[in-house]
Amino acid sequence: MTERELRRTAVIIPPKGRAVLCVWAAVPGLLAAPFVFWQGILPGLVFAALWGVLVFLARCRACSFAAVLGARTLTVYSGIVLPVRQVFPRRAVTGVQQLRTPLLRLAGASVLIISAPGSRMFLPAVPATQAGALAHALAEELP
Amino acid sequence: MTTPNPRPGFPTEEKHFHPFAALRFLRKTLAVYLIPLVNVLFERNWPAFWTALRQDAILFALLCGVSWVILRFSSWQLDEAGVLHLRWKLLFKLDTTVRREALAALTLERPALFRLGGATKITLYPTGQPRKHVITLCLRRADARELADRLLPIETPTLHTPAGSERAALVLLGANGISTLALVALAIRQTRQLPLDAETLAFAQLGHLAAFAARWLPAGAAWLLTLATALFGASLARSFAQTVHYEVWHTATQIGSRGGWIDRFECRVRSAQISYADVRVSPAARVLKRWPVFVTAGCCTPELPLFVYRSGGEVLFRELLPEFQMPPDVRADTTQRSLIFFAPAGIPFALCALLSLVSVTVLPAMTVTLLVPTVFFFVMLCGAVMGYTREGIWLREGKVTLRRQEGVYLHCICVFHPDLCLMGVQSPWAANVRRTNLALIFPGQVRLKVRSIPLAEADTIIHFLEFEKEGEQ
Repeated sequence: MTERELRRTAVIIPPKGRAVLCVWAAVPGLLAAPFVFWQGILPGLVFAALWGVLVFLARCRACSFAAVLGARTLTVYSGIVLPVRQVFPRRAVTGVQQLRTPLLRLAGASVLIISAPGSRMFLPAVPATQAGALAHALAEELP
Repeated sequence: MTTPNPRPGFPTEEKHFHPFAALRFLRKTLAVYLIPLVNVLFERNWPAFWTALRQDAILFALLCGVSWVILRFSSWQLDEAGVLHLRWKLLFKLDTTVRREALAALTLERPALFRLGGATKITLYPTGQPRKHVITLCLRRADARELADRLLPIETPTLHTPAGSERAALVLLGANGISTLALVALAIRQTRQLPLDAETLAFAQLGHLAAFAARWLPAGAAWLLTLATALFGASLARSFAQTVHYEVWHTATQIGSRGGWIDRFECRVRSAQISYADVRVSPAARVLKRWPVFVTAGCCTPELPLFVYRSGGEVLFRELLPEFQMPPDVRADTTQRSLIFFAPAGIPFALCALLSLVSVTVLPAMTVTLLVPTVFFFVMLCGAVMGYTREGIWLREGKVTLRRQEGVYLHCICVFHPDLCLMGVQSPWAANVRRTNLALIFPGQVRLKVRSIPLAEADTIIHFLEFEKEGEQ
């Protein structure tokens, strides 16, 4: 995928990527659940319901995620109820890290961590081809 | 004024830090000595006290030994390329290098104690790094001067000696002195006269808890307030001492200032690394018509202004920061603007005002004391009104300018650094009325937030970053 192709489209999290994120969000709850159920069925059910809502919210947020590469900036949109927009000038990018776990590899996705002097941006579970192209495009700007 | 090192490309020999460098380590161990001493002192167990003293002496000797090891096996050196090497050679070798091109700013501090010991604290601020990556060294005076001149040399400087800051500090100091005296008088009056009457009244009406409050709170609060004002006065006196002999200079590549009477301070900032300049408008500045200008480079945010200029005397300002643009002097659009501006001061003001009103009938002794925080929060509320009507972000002459309120201060800021990241956050209510909070993130993890601005204004800034910068290239 070339930079020009990347700039014509927004990078979103595909359904498989969203599933991976949901699994990640569910894991701490699954680990904690036996201890809560040990206290009683009712607290366990309440905990499971709350954690389920949390995972659902994480999935909703993943649905609203979009990263747009411009000529001079990278803009990331996320959230519907609490919309957040992050704008990074491409020239400010000081490092790009690409993370792939076995689960992400199965889903054909990657996590991109983009660093700038002042802050850091996470692009979770975006398609691997687009992540690679994005990392390549941003790496060209590295000092 | 210092001159550049006569041997700019000459490497220095490997040198050790000043013995005062160990003070930072020893200071952190103070609690280890003091806690056992305090315990036995309160118990008045004198044999145990002497034992604790002996233990402390042994511990102190041990820590002095550790300090000696730290001083002996750590060193610094400048090579011929002007790269600073910081070395540790015991058990393992650690060599930290700092390139002079990677420095955004440096400061030289000489507090009174350091001046007596011939030491200087030099702080190096690497470009784009957060405050935790700042490098602080304690060197001999001449070494520190040499290091500063090699890392950020001052070449053909143009000197200025602005006098506005001294007068501003003096006036503030005078005002603080008068207010402290007034509060002392109030506290003495509360202590001498009021508690007994208030106690009787409270016993009659409210019971033991209110009696306790009536007995101690008015006098206690008044003395606490006096103490706070006195401490504020001490800080103002320190500021005044720092503004004596103040001078500011600029060269082709950097801008700096130095001054101080008892504690000497010097700051050198690389002009290309200045994130933003901030004209801080305070009530005192309005009265005196003298405007302090603060400069931030990376995570270097000196507590002293770089310079102070007065209305009509903007020549100095134009010379030092020619690209600075003031935010336009307009009122912000307040249609459906968030009332969050009023929350931090409004809630305590309402509570204090309510308590004052209640105290008029229930505990008249407390009314005067309660009026003090009420007035304080009222002033803060006035500041909030100022923020509500003035805070915003604008583009002027190709520069991002913003105005933001903090307490009673109004910050007029012009952004210089091109590597500006933005983050817009909306609440559901803000999204409904098409407004957003916009955070500007600068190198060094310095953040500035502008609250509840119209979405269109935020879009303008983002559009500017995307397209105008491209046009400049």
